[in-house]
Amino acid sequence: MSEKENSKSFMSSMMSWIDRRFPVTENLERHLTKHPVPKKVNFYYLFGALLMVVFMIQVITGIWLMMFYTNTEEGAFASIEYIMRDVEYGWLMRYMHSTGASAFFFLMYFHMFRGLLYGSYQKPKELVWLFGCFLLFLLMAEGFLGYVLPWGQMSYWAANVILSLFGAIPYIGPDLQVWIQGDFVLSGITLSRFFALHVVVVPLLMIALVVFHIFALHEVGAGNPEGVDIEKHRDAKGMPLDGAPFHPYKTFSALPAMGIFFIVFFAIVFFAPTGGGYLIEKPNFEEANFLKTPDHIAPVWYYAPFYSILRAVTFGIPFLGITSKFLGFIIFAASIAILFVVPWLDRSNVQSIRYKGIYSKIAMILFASSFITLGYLGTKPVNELRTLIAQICTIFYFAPFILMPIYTKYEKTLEVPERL
Amino acid sequence: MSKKRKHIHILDGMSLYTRDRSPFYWGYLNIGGKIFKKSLKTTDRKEAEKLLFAWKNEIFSNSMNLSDDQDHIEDHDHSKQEVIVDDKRRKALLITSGIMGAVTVAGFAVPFLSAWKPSEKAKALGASVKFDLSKLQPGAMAIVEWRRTPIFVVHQTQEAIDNLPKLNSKVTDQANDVLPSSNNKFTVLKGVCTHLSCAPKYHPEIEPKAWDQDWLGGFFCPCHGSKFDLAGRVYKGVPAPINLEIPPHTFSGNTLIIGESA
Amino acid sequence: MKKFLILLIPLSIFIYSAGENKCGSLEKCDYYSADVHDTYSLQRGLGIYMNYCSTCHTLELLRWNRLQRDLDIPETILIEDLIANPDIKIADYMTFGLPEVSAIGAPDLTLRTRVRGEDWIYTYLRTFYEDPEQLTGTNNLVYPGTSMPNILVGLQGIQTLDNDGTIKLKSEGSLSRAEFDDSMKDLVNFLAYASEPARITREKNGIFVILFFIIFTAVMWLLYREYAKEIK
Repeated sequence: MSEKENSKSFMSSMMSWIDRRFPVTENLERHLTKHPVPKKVNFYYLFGALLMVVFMIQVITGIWLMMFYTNTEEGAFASIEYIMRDVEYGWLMRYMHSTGASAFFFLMYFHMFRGLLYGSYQKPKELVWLFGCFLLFLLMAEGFLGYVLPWGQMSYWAANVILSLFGAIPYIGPDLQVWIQGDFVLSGITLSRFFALHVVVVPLLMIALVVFHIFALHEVGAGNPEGVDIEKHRDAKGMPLDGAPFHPYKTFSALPAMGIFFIVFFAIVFFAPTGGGYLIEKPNFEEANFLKTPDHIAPVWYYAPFYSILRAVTFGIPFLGITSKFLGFIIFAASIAILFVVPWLDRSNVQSIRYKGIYSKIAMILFASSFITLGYLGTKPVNELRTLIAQICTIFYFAPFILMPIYTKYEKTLEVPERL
Repeated sequence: MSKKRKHIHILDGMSLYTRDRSPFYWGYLNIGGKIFKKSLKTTDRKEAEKLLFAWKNEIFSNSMNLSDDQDHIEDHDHSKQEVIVDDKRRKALLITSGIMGAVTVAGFAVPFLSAWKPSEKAKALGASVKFDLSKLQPGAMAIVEWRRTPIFVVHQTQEAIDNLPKLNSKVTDQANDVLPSSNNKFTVLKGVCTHLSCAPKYHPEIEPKAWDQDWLGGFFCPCHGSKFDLAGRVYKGVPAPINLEIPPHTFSGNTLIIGESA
Repeated sequence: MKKFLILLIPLSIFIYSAGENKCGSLEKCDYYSADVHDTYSLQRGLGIYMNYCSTCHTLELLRWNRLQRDLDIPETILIEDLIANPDIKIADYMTFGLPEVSAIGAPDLTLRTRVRGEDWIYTYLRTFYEDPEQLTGTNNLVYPGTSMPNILVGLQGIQTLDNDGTIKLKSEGSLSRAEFDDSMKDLVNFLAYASEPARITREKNGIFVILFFIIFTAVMWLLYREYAKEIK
């Protein structure tokens, strides 16, 4: 009994020694244990936690893959097969990493769509949203760079397609492309620098931005599907009445979500790691061959919507000297860039879609369905009808954002309740 | 707000308390020997007190109307359902999920740790090596590479075998005056000096050498002057502490297999 | 909210299969999904591979000892009947000293099933027909103009192409049609194994991992509910 008490007081005196010098307890309480979160949220609010899990999976499996991977033109493809066959559990690392990439995007898209639905970008959460958008951009870059590394046919030709986009920029394009490649064609030199960017530069930036994202979030407080400000009503101790401490309420709600995520994740890893050609594409099991283009270059599913937008632009603006290729690049870039300005496009006096008017609801449905349709079309070879649908969907993709300042300002909104 | 449980006495049969790890107040009522407990869903002490009184009044009025109002009985049952407090269950769940978590972490660790074991490629490179002995003349030595180590294979002459006991006084390991291999014509040794891992040189000649006037053949390490006899036994008074190592090997007819022990 | 979820249904449709389903000059490949858990079938497939394919093709990423372990082959049979060459070590790849891409241009077969798909290989092997215009004297429906001769003609018999585009058997081979199809399934199973030897362990152990996480979810759900009831 007394021994137990002794050890307790030793622990607490050690903690206070550390806290005096490095505020562990304060930060833990601030960001984990006592951080207040809204009591009533729905499943959409679990994707953030799952994204952290996936990020960790990617970092750890990535480090392990790096131990066996060879970043040269001659060795890259063979080293992947070395991992798949000769390294014990190497196949598991690789499939977890490739499936993890898909999971990352899947969760990211839901997480951001949640933000759009419940106004998680509105004042004062603009920076949380901006950091998130930067993370999406970095994730797309990271995915692209990583996709080149296996040096299969699809790696090579998909990278060729994307890099030639830079070549479409007027005046500086061709030189820029050569500079990025470090060679006059996509080659082992490009592979080596993509490797460095993929394993060091981009992940470091992502870690920094994740920290910013979370710090900013904890400053302004998490939202909820009702769009109620829980900070308004507090008890005597300053704890929001509609809030609950992060631990154990939020942490324990993330655990079953993690379980469900792992069931789906490992079902794919163990039973459909190539996802019928959508997660790892068939031509990527053939080593890069610069003389032979695959019959049909399709991006992995998570780039498909943006690739579709790129392909949908079949016309240029001749009198401005803009080719269709360059215009496609601009609109492709704009499709991501427009997300960054959403906080300043929304003029609504309510946050959540639940209390917004009919136009906001239609806009969200249009956006979501066009995103999915574009994704579908992006994986298919083009024909006239598909191009037309893609063009219409591109308009529907942009319209909800471009018209947002108008419809959010004038539409009738419902009254938001005081409490959750 | 401490993590410890609190118990606040208010009136006879009325109190507030908190539970492990929870900042929320629970109410406790003892009405005529019947015990009621429920979460008051608030972390504010004053509000909790207010709610507790309201709840008490509610129960009182319910029990008065009990006989004539069916709905109230259900209400009553409902409030009773909420009452279930089970600290044991909570503790059991915490322990079970803690174990599940530990198993998950351990499960994740297994593939990552096993990935560091020698891969199939490393195993293939480190696999046993075959060597054909029929072409090795008596007195000659062949160097075979096995696991990036030179392996010395010496076909001993009869003279060399006869000379071995004569060296007993000069070597540290006197008892071992037979050839250290299962076949008494061939000696198989790791060509790595046991001092600082240089490669010893093979000097089978029986003639006076700069390092030994009575040299009867053996290995001499040019780095630091360690001497070994033809069976790999280390001489006294040299830097090397022990005999040359013998790799696992086995003979199959005229074939020597290095890397597999018999 | 539910409306948005309904919108996700198209997602499940497009996950089904990538690209267009065309199979050479055929509308669709015959469906076949390899079974790598039938060791006897893999062994029979290995037999066909050794007798017919290995004269031109290589398996440059598959090691003999891996094959021995996974297909349960006794060491004496491996060394005396399959390798039959004292210069080849059991940790070597199954190349038989053929150069990486052999002189006749036959591709390495290790990853072919992953590049082409199991359906494609299965259909390809069964749709050779007589075509005097080709150098090899045969042509293929799945891969028109293929430079591979119909090495399996002795088993399958000679096939000809009718005017309506269907294939007819002209003369019997040593196997009946059903027997030949089964042999080709064995061969595809073997090639699918060769393309990913880890698939055996992967599919075997995956179910335990998933069962574990189902229990994990259940326990965590109970834990969550135990705490959530305080704030509901």
